[in-house]
Amino acid sequence: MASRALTALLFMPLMATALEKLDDSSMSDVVAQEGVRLISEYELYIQNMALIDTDDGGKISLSDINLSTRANRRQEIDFKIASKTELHEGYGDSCITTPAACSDELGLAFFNRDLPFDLEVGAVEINGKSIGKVGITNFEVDAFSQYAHNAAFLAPLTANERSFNVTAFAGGADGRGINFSIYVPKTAQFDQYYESDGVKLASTVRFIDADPESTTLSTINQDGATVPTTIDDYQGGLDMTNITVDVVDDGLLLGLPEMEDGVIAITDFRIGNDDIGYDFINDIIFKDIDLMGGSVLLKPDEVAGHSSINMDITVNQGTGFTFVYRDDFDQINARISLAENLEIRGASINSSSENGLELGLGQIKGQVLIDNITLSPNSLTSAQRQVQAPLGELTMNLNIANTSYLHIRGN
Amino acid sequence: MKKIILTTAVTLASLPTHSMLAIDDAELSNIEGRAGITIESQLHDTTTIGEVSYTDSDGDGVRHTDSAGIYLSDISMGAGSSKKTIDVLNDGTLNINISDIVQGDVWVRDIAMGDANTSFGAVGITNFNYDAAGSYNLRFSPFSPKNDGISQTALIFDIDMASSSFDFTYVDEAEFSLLGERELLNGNTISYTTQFTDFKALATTVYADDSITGDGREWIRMDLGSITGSTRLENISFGSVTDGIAATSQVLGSAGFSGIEIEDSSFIALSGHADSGLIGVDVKVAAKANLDNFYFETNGNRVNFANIAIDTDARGVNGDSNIPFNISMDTVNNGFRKGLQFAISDVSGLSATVRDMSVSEGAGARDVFGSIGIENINFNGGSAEMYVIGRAGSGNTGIETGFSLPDGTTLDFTINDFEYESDLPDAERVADKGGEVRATIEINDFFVGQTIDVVKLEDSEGAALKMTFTGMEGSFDVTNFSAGTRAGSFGRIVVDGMQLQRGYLIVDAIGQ
Repeated sequence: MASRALTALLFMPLMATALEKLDDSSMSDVVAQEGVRLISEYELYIQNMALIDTDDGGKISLSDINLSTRANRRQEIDFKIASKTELHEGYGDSCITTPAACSDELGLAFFNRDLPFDLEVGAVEINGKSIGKVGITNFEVDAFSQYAHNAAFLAPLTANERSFNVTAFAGGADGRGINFSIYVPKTAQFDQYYESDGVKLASTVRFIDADPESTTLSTINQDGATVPTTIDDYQGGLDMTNITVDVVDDGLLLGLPEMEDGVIAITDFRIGNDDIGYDFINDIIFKDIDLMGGSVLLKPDEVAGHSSINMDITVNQGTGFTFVYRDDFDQINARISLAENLEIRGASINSSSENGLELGLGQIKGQVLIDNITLSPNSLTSAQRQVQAPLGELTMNLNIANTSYLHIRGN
Repeated sequence: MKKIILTTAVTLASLPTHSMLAIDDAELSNIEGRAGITIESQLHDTTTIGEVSYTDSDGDGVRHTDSAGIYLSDISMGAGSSKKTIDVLNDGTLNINISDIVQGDVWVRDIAMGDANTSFGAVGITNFNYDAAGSYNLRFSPFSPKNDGISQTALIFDIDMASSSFDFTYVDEAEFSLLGERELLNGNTISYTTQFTDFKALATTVYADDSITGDGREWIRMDLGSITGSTRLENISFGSVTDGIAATSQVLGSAGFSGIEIEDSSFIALSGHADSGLIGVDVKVAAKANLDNFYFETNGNRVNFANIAIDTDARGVNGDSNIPFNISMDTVNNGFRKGLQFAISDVSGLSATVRDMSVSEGAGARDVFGSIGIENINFNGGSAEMYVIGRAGSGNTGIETGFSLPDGTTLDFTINDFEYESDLPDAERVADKGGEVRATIEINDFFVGQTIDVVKLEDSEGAALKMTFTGMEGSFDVTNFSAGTRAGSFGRIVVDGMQLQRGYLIVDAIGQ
């Protein structure tokens, strides 16, 4: 280093032309693509995180929290400021066919291209007594691309359609505030578990009813027919829009999302552990998920020095999903939807040194419709299942008094 | 010692003779002698300076015997010219105005801290384009800081950059080789073009002041004036240069700011340490200021942080307290750690709020999210420690930074969506529009450290800024977490023993 400096000094009188500066031609090489890519690997440990009631010291805590990227994998997030038009077209959609989704409105867009993280909590405790361990592991934004045999199956998707995306627009529900859109791609997947006394209740969560390990995805469709198939032929993903955040006199007002045709497939329910092996239970799938919005008003305690989380919740009429419970051979289907707004007033979450976690259910009013109930073998196609005669329908007029509660304590 | 003598000799021998010439006949003929003096001067060739250094002879400011310092080596300044007008005004002011500035490229090929061998890299300021409408004005003027009729001389700067511009380049792993008489650069770069628009920094006043501390120390005090106009950092990019040829850079975006209003009571002051046995610099900072807007832009679209209010002491009625906080700065060289070390103390009521966070298309209409604030930062008698030392995470050059907060640091965190009558900083709130989320946070055991390098990525992904964390830890106690107007809270949240056990962050351009 010193010799380099000395050499430079010796030659300095020669530098009549000075340094070959970065001239305009070099600067003209700068390309027009702009935006920031954040690449990281990390392992974050938190010894303890607790929510403490300031009235009587009741405590709900999470201990030994580990959040980390997996070995030799890196998290990649792209950030740019983009219009709704640019974002819509980035999903391979046309503003000509769906002009309502397009405008010049700008948002802060975060595209999570790769998010290979594990999150594990060593103990969930209520007043110091453990109720078990929980974890989300093997999170993949694009689980299907981990297998070379899925290349043709994935071909139609754009890069944005294979990313977990969050976009924040200005405005909220009224005036200022934030309006989020969250896009969970069809290709995402993670494992989750709850563990107690060394035994796990685990499952795999996907956002499409297809297993990326299957080698026949591009040749056999979801009804079992042998035809060229791509991921576009599958319903899936979660495209949630209009999630608003505002602050009002009574607290924090969250607008619930709007969405059409979402899918959450909780598959491979299993009990056991790596030593004794697992017993597999059945799959639960929520499909045709339609969210029509609504609101959650989170209210702090009214009394100075006291603490509690109080909630008024409205889930808008028309919100619903198709519930599927499936074993290896047969399945039960049922459409569950709100025939009118579901209103919950005065629900609460509190921690008490005596009762543990106190969940006040509040006053609940609403009408829930359960229809299109069918029992059928898995071999039926979707079209065949839709024309099946249903078992009947069930209408529930809910009117639950606000004295109902649930207390959860650790053993 | 031999090395120092040799270096000095070479340095002196290296200085081109023309840079040391007296004003020649041609230049003298340009001096006018009527109502003042006008001098037009030119440097026809590149000027070189071997080394400029600041040394702190006690090394670590406490007990180490080695000297430490800041060393700028292998400096070159391209040819330039300027016009200086010197006048003596009726009130005794000596007025010097510098205009018609032409300046060639300036390179500092080696910046080292601690000792001369611990290099951070090189810096170049090139492609100067001074707007002829701009000027530097410097006045030596009678000044009575206490308004008691006792005058001293103050130095007052008025800098008008008009619409000037220049390119800035930082080079990590910088190597300079010679091809004939041409010098070729190699290394990884961060670069951007600085473009001023109507940029004026006026009435910056420098004078001696012995009233800042009660210990008899004399301080060099700088009263901050006003800053108007805007500055834009265009095409912020990471790249690499091989033998003077720049690889295609990828642009993160551009950034800029406009308009700083600074209250008259704001100042920065420098003095030696209070303990006469220690060598180093104490800096006092007291500021109440409002920044009109800071933005980051990609593809013509901006995220704006407007009406940024900074108050270094927001205590007192209407925040009128103005006690400065202290930064104690030392250069250190203890054999292992070589660089700069800071201790920040006397922080009470430090507040910073961004009132209008928004997005906009260029400088067009803004869609506003709301406000965010960190207020009443209080070290409660403790000191924050910070260091910048030479230590590459990869390669040969780079820096390591570290920052720790004193245990028991408290602050208030707020987010709100209040609405205002206008974009002006003193605009009134619209009644019953919006609310606020707030919390009080106590921080303990907080430290974050990282090495910072500009690196070439694998797989031909170009160059990027890499921060490898050497540590990050802390504990947080969040109380009074509430929203709206209710008196109670959601509860107390305690986070204990947070530790980043491994981690790095690469900031890159999206590129393709």
